[in-house]
Amino acid sequence: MANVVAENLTRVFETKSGRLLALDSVSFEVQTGEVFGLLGPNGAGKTTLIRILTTLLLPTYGRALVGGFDVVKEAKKVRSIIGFSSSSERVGFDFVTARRNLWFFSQLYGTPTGEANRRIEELAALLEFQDQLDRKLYTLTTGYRQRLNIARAFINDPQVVFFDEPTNGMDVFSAKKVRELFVKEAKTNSRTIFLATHNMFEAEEVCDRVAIIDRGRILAIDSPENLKSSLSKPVVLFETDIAGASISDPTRLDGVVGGTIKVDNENETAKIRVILRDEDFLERVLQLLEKRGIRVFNYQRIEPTLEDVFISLVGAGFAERERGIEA
Amino acid sequence: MIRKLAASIMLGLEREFGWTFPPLVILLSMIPATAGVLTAVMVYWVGASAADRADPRWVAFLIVGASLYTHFASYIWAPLSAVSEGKASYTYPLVFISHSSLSYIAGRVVASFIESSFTAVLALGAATLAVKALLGVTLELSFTPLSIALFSIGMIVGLLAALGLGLMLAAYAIFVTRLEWGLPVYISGILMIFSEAIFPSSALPAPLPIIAESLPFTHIIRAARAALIGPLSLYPAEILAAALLGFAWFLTGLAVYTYSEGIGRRRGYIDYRVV
Repeated sequence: MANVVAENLTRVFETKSGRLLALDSVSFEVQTGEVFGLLGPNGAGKTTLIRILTTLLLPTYGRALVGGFDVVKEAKKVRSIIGFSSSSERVGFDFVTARRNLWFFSQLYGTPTGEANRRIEELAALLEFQDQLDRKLYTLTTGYRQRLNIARAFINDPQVVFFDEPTNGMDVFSAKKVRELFVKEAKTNSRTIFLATHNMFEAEEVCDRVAIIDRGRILAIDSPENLKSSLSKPVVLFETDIAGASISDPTRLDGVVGGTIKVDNENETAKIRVILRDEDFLERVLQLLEKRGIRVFNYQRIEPTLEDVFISLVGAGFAERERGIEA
Repeated sequence: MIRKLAASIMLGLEREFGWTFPPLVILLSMIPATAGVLTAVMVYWVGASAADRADPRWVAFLIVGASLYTHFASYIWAPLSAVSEGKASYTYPLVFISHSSLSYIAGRVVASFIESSFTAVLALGAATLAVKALLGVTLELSFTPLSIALFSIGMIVGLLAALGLGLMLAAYAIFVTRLEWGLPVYISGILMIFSEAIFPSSALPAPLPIIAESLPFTHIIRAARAALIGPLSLYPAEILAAALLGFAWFLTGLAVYTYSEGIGRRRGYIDYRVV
């Protein structure tokens, strides 16, 4: 059963500099018990989409249903069946204990106190912060505050839970706990988990399906495995000297569909990751690098990641996209 | 609805008192309230004594009016704070998503009202004692169970009016990304001039007394004076006027806030950060 449906969802913002198309005819369905990832760079439209689905924002055009309810016409019903957590680490009331924060939000959903207390203990145990429950929020570390924030999203026993960059800035251990919780809640309790992220690893690890979004448009939707296997073009990693950093845009290299560059200033090296139009262009790229005075220490064909899928679709990686480099 | 309201009141009380030892909060908040009341009294007393016209009845007038004024002034900002702080800490969007923003704002107002009521009553008592000690004036204030009950009813009627005004301020807070933190001070200043807190509205030039008459706070202060100073016969008409105007203000505040939430959702302001 589809728990989240978007049909031609469009959002236009009127800004001082003109109209900004944040979402452009977005359509998809997410099933019950599915962990669905929305993967894209900052500014791609992920947060706008989540704001519409959680009833914080109205769409300009199009329609969206959550749990079968229209987010515009039946907002009250939608609100009663959703949970939401944003990446903000400051969420909550500082001078109130973690337990009281969770209890307060449970009461806003009309949860009886006994049931609320049981859920608080259960969620704290799942996310391993029971010993922090009676501490005031301002005394908690960032990691614990973020775990509390995740727990709060489940406090009303929601049918659909939305997360916007949930593990952003989280320590490795906490992030692992959170990801385990997402999978458990989706598979054991048949919740729909809707996850907006730019964390490739996270999307690959927990999502049943991933929608790749860029500039308000969904470019592809499939399982992470299918998305990666659909990429028939070779992905090659060149390890070069620091001169490799001079290539600001790999797509200017003949035969390169897209790519990313990571510079290691400390070791004075660069890693140029490119997607080639086909295998025949490998020699051509090597010649071009040599011609530009870039020394290649090593190169190898590597397994594609979701970012490579993104690169093959738009020509640039997340970081380049966020910096505004055009394909 | 009741559960949401009760939880919001409890949370509000924890927020009001939770930052330190609760009796200390009351004691600290009493200082500016008492100081404000005493300042008004001393300014009057020094001026009136110089003209050889000092009258203890005006001191009682000032003490009751200024105590209630500090009470209103200290809690009408609660909705503004609930929305603006809530946008900064992202609690307001979460409350909005839970379809509880009105209960939440009302709960925060009630919590702030409780704290402020303690302060106002203690400031009233402290100012009365201080006037006796400093000026040697015994005020003809009636502290009987009936007068205290009537005074308390006035404060409760004021809650509805304050909620109405608070909802209008909350509506404003939805739209702003850069909050004017001085706004509650401006509003309080207007209330001080027009609500008969320290001088009768008849002292204002025409047509300004009309503004004073349209404020529920003016009638609450008059009703409180009727209860504590007399004559008691003025109380029913004043408390009725306060209740009717308070209800009208509440309905206006509710309409403005609900409308603002709708516009805020359309324009994307509900979860906009406030600085």
